[in-house]
Amino acid sequence: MKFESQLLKGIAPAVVLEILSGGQMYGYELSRAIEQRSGDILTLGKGTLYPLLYNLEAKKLVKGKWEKNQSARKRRYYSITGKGKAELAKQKVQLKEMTAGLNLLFGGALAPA
Amino acid sequence: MTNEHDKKDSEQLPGSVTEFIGRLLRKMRYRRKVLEDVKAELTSHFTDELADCTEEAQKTERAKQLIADFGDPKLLGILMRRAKKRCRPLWQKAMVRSLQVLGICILYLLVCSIPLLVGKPTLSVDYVEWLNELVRAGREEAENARPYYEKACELNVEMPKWLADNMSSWPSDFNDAGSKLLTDWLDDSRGAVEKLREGARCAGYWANYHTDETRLDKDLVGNAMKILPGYRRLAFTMRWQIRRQADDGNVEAAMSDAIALSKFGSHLQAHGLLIEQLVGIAIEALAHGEIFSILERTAVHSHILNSTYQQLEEQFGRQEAVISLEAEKVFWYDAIQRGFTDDGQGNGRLLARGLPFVVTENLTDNLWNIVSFNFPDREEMVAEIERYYAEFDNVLSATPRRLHDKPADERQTNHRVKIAPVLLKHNTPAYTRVSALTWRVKTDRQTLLTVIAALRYEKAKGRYPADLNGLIEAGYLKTLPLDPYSNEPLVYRRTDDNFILYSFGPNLKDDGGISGKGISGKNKQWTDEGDTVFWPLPGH
Repeated sequence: MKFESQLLKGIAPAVVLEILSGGQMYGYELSRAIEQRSGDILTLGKGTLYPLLYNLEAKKLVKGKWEKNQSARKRRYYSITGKGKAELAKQKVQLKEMTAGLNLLFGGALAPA
Repeated sequence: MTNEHDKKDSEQLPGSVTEFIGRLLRKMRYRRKVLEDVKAELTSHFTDELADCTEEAQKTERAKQLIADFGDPKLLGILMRRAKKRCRPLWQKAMVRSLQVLGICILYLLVCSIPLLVGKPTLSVDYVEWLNELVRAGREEAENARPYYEKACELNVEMPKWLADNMSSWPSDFNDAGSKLLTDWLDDSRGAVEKLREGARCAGYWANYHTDETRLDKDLVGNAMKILPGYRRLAFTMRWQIRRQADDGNVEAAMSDAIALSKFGSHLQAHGLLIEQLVGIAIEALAHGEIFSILERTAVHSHILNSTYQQLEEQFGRQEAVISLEAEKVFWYDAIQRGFTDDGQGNGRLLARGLPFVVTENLTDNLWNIVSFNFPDREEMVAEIERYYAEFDNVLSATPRRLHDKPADERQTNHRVKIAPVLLKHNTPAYTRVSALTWRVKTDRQTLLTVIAALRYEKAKGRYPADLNGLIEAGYLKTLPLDPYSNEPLVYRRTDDNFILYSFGPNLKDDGGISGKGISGKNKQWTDEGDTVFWPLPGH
């Protein structure tokens, strides 16, 4: 589903960190994982993905390194760092509180059916 | 990061993808290693995305969708570049920023340096010729004593070492061998002495300055100084001549030669380069010392005293000034001519060559001038040079006492000269030292006349005067001798059979006529402690 870019912008880092907290992935893999694990609800644009990964790398929330996979093809794998885990935890708390607040605001209309 | 697989993948991707990645990387504009990594990453992403497509048309269509999903390559390249830059370690960021700042500063300096590098000086004045005209002052060559002195130097025979080791002695102190040595040497130097006498009879003296190259500062002083050691040796030869004549009883001839030596010294003063004038001061002081010694050692007849007084009074009266700094300006005028442009109206801007001459002692001003390229123009530089030398003249004309009594901030001459170059200050001797030497020779002249006047008085009256006013009232002296260290007349006291005449000296205190001491412990004039006693002579 295509969301308003501003809506997705704020939670994109948390989404990526959450996916990577389950294990290292390369860009394409990460993109597919976001779609699959969100039930195809969330789609991170390719033009957003790589700049985001590089920014997270700059903030030392993720770490990237080149590795060969089984097919001897080199991929740049990204893994979450300790700092990234702490940041993820913090953002989860904030998202939870925000969800609760929004729910109250919209009179429970935001709760999943 | 590319390997064989990646190269193969890249080749298998549709042209639109390759082109998209290429455009993105071009917009990204980063280090090659980083671009290669990004290229590899994007290539593998597209490869993975298109892996399911079996047909070319399908692949092409899917590629089109992916490219659209990626978005504008220019914007993406910018975003990726920014993100990659953030990945740099802090030290690298600091280094890059520092280099950027340095680059901007260098660019700024280069741009602002352009006016310094563009343009040429106009060498419109031959300042060597200017200097020669200044010192000659329109006089005829026949009036010039210099050729005689130069010839005298050529004819002068080098002093025997034994005599050089006994400079404070008089011929009467020598044994027969020493006397013969002295006589033979003076006979060999007779021509030199005679030429010196001839030169002393000339009305004036001026040098003929020249340089071997076009830059004054390189050769002018060097060439001018070549003759000075010869002058010094000539002066000492004359001194021995004077002493021998005095010891032989030929006092009149000795006095005459002493006056010639004094004239020789005064010829070098009040014009020309400062170093020449300082040598002139030393030679005149040497001559005066010999006259004082003759007056003390021998019974000088009245007519010799009278004649000596008149000749000295006439000589001293013709020359008030001791030091003139006009010729010293020649270096600065020439430096300005070579370091500034000439707009034809007396002004011009600084060129690179002139930079050393505008650096001042004020570091803040220098830094600000460099950063803002706010250098003095030609007119300002000339004005500063004139102001500096005017201040120097003020110091020379003020007595040491007056200089001492000035408030502390007024004594700091440099404050009043804002941008006088550091080279100017370092290339001129200390103000106060030159001033002290100037006042010494002026005081010596007055003292000599006063002592001769007192001796003449004594010869006529049978006793010394009660005070200096007595000499004036009797017509033996025209003015009271000034003590530059008290700004009052020299101290005179009649003693039982003599008199004492002294100055407060550099310590500016009246020590009651107690002479200062030299390093050897003997009485010495012009020491930092004690009075400077002119009569009786120190050491007696």
